[in-house]
Amino acid sequence: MDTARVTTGTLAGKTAFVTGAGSGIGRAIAECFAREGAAVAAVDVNPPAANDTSAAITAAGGRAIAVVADVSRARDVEQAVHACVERLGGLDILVNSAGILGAPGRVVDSSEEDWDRLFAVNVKGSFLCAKYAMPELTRRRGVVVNLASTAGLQGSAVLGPYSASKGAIVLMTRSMALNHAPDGVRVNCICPGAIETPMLAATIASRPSPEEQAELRRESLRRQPLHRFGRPEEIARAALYLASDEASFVTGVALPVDGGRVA
Amino acid sequence: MGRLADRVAIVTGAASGIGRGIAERFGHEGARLLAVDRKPDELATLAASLGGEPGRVRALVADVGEDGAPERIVTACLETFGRVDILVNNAGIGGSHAILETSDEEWQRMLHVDLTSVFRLSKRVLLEMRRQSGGRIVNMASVFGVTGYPGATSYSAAKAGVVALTRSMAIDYAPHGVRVNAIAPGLILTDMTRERLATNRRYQRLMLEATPLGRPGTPHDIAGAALFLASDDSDFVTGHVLTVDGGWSVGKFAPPGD
Repeated sequence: MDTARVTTGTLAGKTAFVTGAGSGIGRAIAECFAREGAAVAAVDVNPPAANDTSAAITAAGGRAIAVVADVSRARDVEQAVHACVERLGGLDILVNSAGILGAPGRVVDSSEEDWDRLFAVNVKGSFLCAKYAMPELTRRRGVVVNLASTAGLQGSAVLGPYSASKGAIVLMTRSMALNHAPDGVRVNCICPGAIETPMLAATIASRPSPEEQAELRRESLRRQPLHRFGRPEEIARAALYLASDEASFVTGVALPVDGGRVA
Repeated sequence: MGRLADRVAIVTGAASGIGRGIAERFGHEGARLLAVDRKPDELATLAASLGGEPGRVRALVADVGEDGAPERIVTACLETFGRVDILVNNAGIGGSHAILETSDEEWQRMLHVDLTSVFRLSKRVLLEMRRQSGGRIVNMASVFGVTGYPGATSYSAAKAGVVALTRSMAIDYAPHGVRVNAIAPGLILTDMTRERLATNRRYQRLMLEATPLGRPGTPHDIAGAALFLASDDSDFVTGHVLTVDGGWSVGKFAPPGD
């Protein structure tokens, strides 16, 4: 499918800073943007994962660097943005894809440590990356694409804290869209539904028995109007639309890519 | 080759404004096109501008509000191209008021053209798409169908109906491989809005000056969204209303920076 797609070079000449680029959706976005001509800073907290993505892009003829950073630490983020600008010559597109699921369960059952870690990575991480990238984005009339979730649009009985963190990203996206529109910087988010990623696999694996895991998978599929889970590449193509000039009049939106789940 | 190579698309209201932007873009992306409009002269110039290869564009003069229109449109499409992959329900009318100034006649006409005609044509086209086990429908809603605006009762109600119709069709026909989405444009520069901007100070203030990106959109902006929703790039997107408004609805009526 990837090879059949015509590479239009939609992002030729652009530089993308993609967090969580070591796996799942982040990796798919990094690879898709590189195929479309962008130079990519593949940012991940896990060094081998960042290197893998960067190496895969380079091997496919693209341009990438691996950058190791914990997005919940200001110092890491500042250095990562600096590395991107120094080594790739700028920063036009920020994709905040780094995120964690936290422990499943109700809001009130979350431990203080889990709650703080979840919000540190998912919410503070997106905030810090935007904060340090914004001067460069403003200079270049760049774009921000945040990864929220359909769990940030609807309540979740089983992923309460995660849902709260993703809801925060949706609203942060809208406020930032207003803040930076006068500078020509667009800010949007994507709300993936159930996508075949390591995170979905982990959610399913969190059920104690194989039978319950199979039941959760069946139950999740039943709730999908399109009767299937999405693929990371499908999120990447939505991100490509939002990051490209095709969406130059689109800002402040939350785009569900969820097979119709929230419709 | 383009992103819609050899897909067959029906675009209503194709002769001018947003519809023309979509028709031209789809044509350039390789689609085979049934361009529908009630204005023959402008439709002819569209067909001419997309000229090139014969058999890629057929112009059909039809008023989507007429009872027989859905059958005529689908028959013409099948006759010429053998199937229908994409339907863009773009044709519509504007011109509405606060409820106390809204006549029954205006209400009926607005609901008829902007909502009932979308229902009827979609229903006829879905019959084909179900048979083909796939298709994409893109409806033109409006930010006024999602959020309030002064003096727009019948138009807002009709467009809100389009939003609900979009979601219902998406859920019901997802199992048949049909994706249904809508676009909610904000201020888009067309002959209709250009005139209104020039003569209506309040419209200028509430729409143009309150658009955070600081400019009106263009038919090209809507065409980009329609292309995304009609192409394989949005294969996992259905039942969504994509707002293309320069941020207008995020901070409605507030000048940017406030």
